[in-house]
Amino acid sequence: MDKKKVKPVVQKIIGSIIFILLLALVLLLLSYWFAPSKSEDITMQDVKPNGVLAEPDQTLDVLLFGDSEAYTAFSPVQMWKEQGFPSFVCASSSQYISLTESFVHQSLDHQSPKVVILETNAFYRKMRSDNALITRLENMFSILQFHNRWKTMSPLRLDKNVSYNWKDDMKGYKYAKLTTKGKNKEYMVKTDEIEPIQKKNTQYIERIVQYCHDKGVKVLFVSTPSSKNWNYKRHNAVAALAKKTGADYLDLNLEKSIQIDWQTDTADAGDHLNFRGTKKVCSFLGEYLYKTYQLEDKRNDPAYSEWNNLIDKYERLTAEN
Amino acid sequence: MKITSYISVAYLAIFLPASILLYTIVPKKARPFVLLTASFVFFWFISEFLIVYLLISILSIYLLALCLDKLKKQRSAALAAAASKEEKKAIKSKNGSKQLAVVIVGVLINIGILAVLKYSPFLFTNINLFFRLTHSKLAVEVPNFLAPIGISFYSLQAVSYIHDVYKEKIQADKNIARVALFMSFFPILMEGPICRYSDTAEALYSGERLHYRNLTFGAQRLAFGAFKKIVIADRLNIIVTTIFKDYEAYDFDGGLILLGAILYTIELYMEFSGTIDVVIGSGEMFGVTIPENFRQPFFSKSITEFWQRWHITLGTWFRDYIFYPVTMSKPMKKLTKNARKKLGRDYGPMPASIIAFFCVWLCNGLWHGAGWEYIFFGMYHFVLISLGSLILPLSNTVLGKLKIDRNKWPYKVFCIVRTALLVCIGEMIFNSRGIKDSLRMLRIMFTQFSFKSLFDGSILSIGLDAYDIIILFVAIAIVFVVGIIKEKGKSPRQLIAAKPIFVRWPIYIGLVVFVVVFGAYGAGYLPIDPIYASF
Repeated sequence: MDKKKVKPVVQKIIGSIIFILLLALVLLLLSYWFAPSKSEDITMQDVKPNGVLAEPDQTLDVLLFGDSEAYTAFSPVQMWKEQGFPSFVCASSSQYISLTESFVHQSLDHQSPKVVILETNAFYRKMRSDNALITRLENMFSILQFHNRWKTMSPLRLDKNVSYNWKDDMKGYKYAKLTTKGKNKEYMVKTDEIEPIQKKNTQYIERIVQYCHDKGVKVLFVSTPSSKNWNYKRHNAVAALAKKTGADYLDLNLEKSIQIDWQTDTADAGDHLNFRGTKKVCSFLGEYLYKTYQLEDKRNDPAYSEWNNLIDKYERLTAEN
Repeated sequence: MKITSYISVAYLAIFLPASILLYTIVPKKARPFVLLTASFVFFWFISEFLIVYLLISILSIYLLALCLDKLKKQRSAALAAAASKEEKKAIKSKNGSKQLAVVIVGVLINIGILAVLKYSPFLFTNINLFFRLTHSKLAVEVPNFLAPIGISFYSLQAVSYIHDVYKEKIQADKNIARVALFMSFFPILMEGPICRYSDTAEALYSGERLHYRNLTFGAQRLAFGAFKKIVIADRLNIIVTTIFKDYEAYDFDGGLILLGAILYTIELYMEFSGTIDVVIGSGEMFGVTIPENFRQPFFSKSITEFWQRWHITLGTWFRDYIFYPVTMSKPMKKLTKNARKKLGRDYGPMPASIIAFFCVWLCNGLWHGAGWEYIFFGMYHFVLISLGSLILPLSNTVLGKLKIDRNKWPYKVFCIVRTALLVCIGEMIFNSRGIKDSLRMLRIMFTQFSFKSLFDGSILSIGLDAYDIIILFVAIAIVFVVGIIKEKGKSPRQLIAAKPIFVRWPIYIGLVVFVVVFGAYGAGYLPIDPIYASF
């Protein structure tokens, strides 16, 4: 190509790069400006799982991640009441495994739990390429998460660090009071078949497990009881993945001793548990975690007095059940 | 990967850039095949194995057009060899019948697939309804077919190709890849526009290299399309959904129903024209000029003009392949001839036109969906357009007597507002949950009309706060100003491109920042699905 033609092409390429960099810079500056100073200002969807960031550093022994199955089945205060170990549920509605990874990283920056629990329903949430990209973009430019704060935020404040001051008294658990009867049918019919987990999700799960192991944290996959979402084919796939990654696996759908009654223990006919179901699950899971991972009963530890104070409020809120 | 909309991260940040990159790095000869592969992959992402229907359409029109070509050559040869006039007439007649049969087969295959997949459930449901009404014990099973996204668009393209070959407007293409690319170019697959072979096929297959100007202009159009959809349409979706779904529960008055109709029309326009901006911008990046589908429709002074500016390619398709063939058919010509004798020159052609309009609007309604509300929507426009034609001489007389000048701005503004309101009522019928629902909404609008809900704060309780309303006003004003510039025959993009860099770049960056900050996405918003993709 002759020089006369090359020069404008190079100019255009350089011009485009400068334009893109300038745009990125503007978005970055806006990200600093729009980042909330307090965690309660964070968008609604993420406000509960973000409560973990307000917990004092290195105080939690169990961290639980997942979607709505997780935040309706696991109640940290219930397990504290019964076994005395502190935990937190970092779950959000329809959580993609890419978001789980982001939450795991954020919370392990401040906590060194004995065990990280990944609820397995989210393993089957089909992730599109753009989910992963969106999560990355949101991490890079937080303006994409916080853009709607223009309605409420105060004028110029350039500090991207969020002060995570909002604490969740339910420790990530979402109280489900309603009962919508389901059917007590046998949904865990034994089979050797496998319902494959999406390759992209598998890669994320493997990465999360590896990250936890590198930090010296054990990983436990837990399948919460759900007659609507779970079956033996999924159990087989998760069991195989646990074996492959070196994680532990507990399928609560196979634990008959929990005695889930789908007529009374579900909020929506077998999809999610209601509080009656949660209590049954927490009783079993709390005991299992306590024994398996040799957790400490900290109810008499003065550093955790705040947890004991929460019990009253928790019992008031759940009194009708 | 699943692509649900052109205005999505999957398309704008992954699929389109990847296609452009691949297109750039391969040699010129391979470029059409990159586009074709990308188009088939795209179709797979949106409709998976239903791609088989698209392949059937492509293959059918390709083979049938070649068949037409062969028949035309045979006719020429036979005519050249024919000695007498009678012989020539017989050849023309026989060959013409054969060609017509080929066209009919092409239409039957392509419209047939569309009809079976899209309309058979509606037909069977109505057959059962008829049985019930006649107290018959008979019942037929209502089928439930999966139709590929965009079938209503590419099927019409297929018919236009066959028809244009038949009418010798274009030559049958011997290259199946070019026909396939014309039918399936990925930006037009989901929501059109309905392209003609003569518009796009050559450019698509030429493998022209990418040009900086096309890329930047295309990108600007993408950004403006995203602006319309994300800032305006998605923001309006909350309030529109509430009004249309829960108007009875909220006990809304006629004023709010009318507001719902206006807002839905704006939402539909912003969503559809925004998507078309992305589609045309995508084509522009590859150097392909995709036909415009909108030309500032809300500046129209009559319903007829509105349909020349709104979904233009659908309107011209109906004009060329339904209106003209019907009016030019032998029975209609005969009807016009007789009517001229009785009704005079002005009103003589009207009966045939009205019959043709009826066919067009029945098809237009049905094209939008298999439901009585869509037929009602089509008939509503049929009545408005027919009435407009019928009363035109009368209105001219009245205006003359009142000394109102049609060319003065107050009358023009009156016509624009009147047309916009009539369109909004039509769109309300279109978006209702059925014919009963649309009649109920019309009744409330006309019998319980009041502005109370608009001013007593009710409007702020159904999904939008005051900030959202301000953003809506600003954003719609921007689209309006752009519309005025275009209406004056100028190109806003060219005007901006002529400015110095310190003016130009802040405008471009400002547009992106506006979408990022004021876009209705994330928690608390519910983005709309592409409305026209479901037609």
